[in-house]
Amino acid sequence: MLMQASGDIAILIAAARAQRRNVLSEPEAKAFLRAQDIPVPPGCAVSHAEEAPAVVRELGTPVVVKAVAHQLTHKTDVGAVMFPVESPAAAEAACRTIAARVATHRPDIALDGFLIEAYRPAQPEWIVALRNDPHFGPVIMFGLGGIYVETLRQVSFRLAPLCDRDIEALLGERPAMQLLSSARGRAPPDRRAVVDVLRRLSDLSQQPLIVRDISEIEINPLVATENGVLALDALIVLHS
Amino acid sequence: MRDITPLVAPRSIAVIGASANPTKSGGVLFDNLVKGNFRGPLYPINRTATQIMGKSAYPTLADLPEKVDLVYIVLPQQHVKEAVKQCVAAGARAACIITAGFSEASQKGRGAEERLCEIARASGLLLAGPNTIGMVNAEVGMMGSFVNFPRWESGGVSFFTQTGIFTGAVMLHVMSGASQRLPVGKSIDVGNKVDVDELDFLHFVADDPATKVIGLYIESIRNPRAFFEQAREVRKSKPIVVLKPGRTKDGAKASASHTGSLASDDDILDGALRQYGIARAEDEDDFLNALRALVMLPRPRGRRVGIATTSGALGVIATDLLVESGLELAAFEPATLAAMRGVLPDWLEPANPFDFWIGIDIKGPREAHEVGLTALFADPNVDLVLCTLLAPGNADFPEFGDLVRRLRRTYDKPVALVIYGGEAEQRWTAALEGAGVPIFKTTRAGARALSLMVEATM
Repeated sequence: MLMQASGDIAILIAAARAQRRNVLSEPEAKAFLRAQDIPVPPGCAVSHAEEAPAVVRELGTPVVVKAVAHQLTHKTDVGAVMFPVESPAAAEAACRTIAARVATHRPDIALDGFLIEAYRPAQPEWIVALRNDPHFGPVIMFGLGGIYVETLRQVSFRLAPLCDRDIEALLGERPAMQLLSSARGRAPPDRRAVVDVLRRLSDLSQQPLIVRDISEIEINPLVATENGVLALDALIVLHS
Repeated sequence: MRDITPLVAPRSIAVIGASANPTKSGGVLFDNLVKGNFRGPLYPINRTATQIMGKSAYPTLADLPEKVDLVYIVLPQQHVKEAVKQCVAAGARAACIITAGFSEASQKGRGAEERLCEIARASGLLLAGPNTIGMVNAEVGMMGSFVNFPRWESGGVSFFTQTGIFTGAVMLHVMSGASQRLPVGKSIDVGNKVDVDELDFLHFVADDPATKVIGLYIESIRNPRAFFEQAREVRKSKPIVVLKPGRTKDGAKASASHTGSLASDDDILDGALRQYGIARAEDEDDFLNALRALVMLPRPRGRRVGIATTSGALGVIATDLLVESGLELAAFEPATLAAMRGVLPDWLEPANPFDFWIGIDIKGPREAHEVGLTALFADPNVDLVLCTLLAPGNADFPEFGDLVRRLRRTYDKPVALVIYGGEAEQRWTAALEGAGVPIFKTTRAGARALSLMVEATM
């Protein structure tokens, strides 16, 4: 099993710098989010495919299986994410399939292992990010996420830090954001939990260590249900 | 923070490159300064002439009897650097370089421009330009532009622009109008913006009692954090409208993340403008209309609009435009509806938009307009008024101007007027000149002006 990542950002940054990389792995980024009280799905990172079944037996099915490699920032593009995976044996097979796909499409990348998480999909998918922009300084982005984020561009920016009024305006700025309040027959998503994530990123934008070392914290997708939010994927990029 | 008063409101001006030749930029600019009755001493700098347009000429700045506040430089590109050095040596406090052919033209020009900037920065000389149409400050009689304006309507609008000739052409257009001219007290064009920038300007207008409304045409913001902090203070008393082109320009930044590729400077700027309550105009028409509404009208107390129209079609068009811009339709009070019923037939129930064309048939144009518009203005749920009125012969009545003036004065609410018609339209427009009622060419222009007004003030 891979060593479970620390949630302490100073330790994560030091580890990445020691390995001369400027991207944190998904398990590292999620450990950080968990430490910030931003919920992530239950899961575990493993080094080898044969360790997968034990993790699945503990988590229950279905699960999602993802490649772990810090150089691999767009995993879906190379088929390195598989879901829903319905059994312990299928999870082991998924790990082997993902390893083969990465070897084919990105032979330059060495896999660190696999992340196995409870499969908790929801629609729509949101994107929430903190960016230390070279010209504007810390900015917060929110909008419709998922894989169409760049095609649809239903996102908006604000200069950080954000006050409550800024957050309210941001959550209403694009047509797609109406999906935060209307759910067509289902219980509406927990809007307050989304607000909490934005507030958290806004607070982080004011911490000296974050300003000094981190270029971006991106949660995509973030899903919101009546039970709260979950960060299904996360990316943390350090200043190079 | 530095004070740009010597540049924007100088006590004395010299012009290097002044000539008596009215076909040259230096000739037109000097002529404009003379005819504008600049309040202080005006010195033409010319190596050969002894007098230009009745003013004693001097060969160099060093020969002047005083250290001047501002020097206009209207010389061929290759002589500009020497002129800037001359400004520094003579102790001038500011220079405005009209000459083009710098960073906007070529890489070589960019290098030359950087050297100008270094010279100015090292000495503290305030610099506007190069590549500018010039600067106008009507309050001190500084018509420092190489565009010849037929007249200038002075007033509470202050412009800061980062462009070559755009400001001059637009001002010429604005000032040539027979009515509804935008009252512009200051128009400061810094061209390529090598030194004095939008933040300096916001500091200046914050303390300038003559500035009521601010219009910025900018291609970038040099120091966004400081700019927005200052803008937050300034807008409390002086609303700001920004025209910043380049919305569609591909600003993607190379990045491992989606955020990086989405975070173009324009997208971030757009969010920040909303966050800090600065209205963003889409084009020059939008920009000028918003400024006209802001300088002529009182501040809105809310975002609920009452629409009065004598065309059902224009009423629906107005509704679409207003709602799309984030404004709301007012719900009329029972008393308002009762008054409106007075000019409508039994079978027609008044609503918002209030379409009262048929009332003109029943009650005649004067009574229909008077009863209908008064009810609309008086309704406490109406924060802003949009009137789209047709003016063919049977809708015309001589007291139209008096009626609208009275409503504007009595209720002190922001109102945008759109008039469609022939001869009566011109008469109605003329009757409202000086009444503080902006008149727009189209429903779209009027609706956009109201919504930008709300963005800039609320």
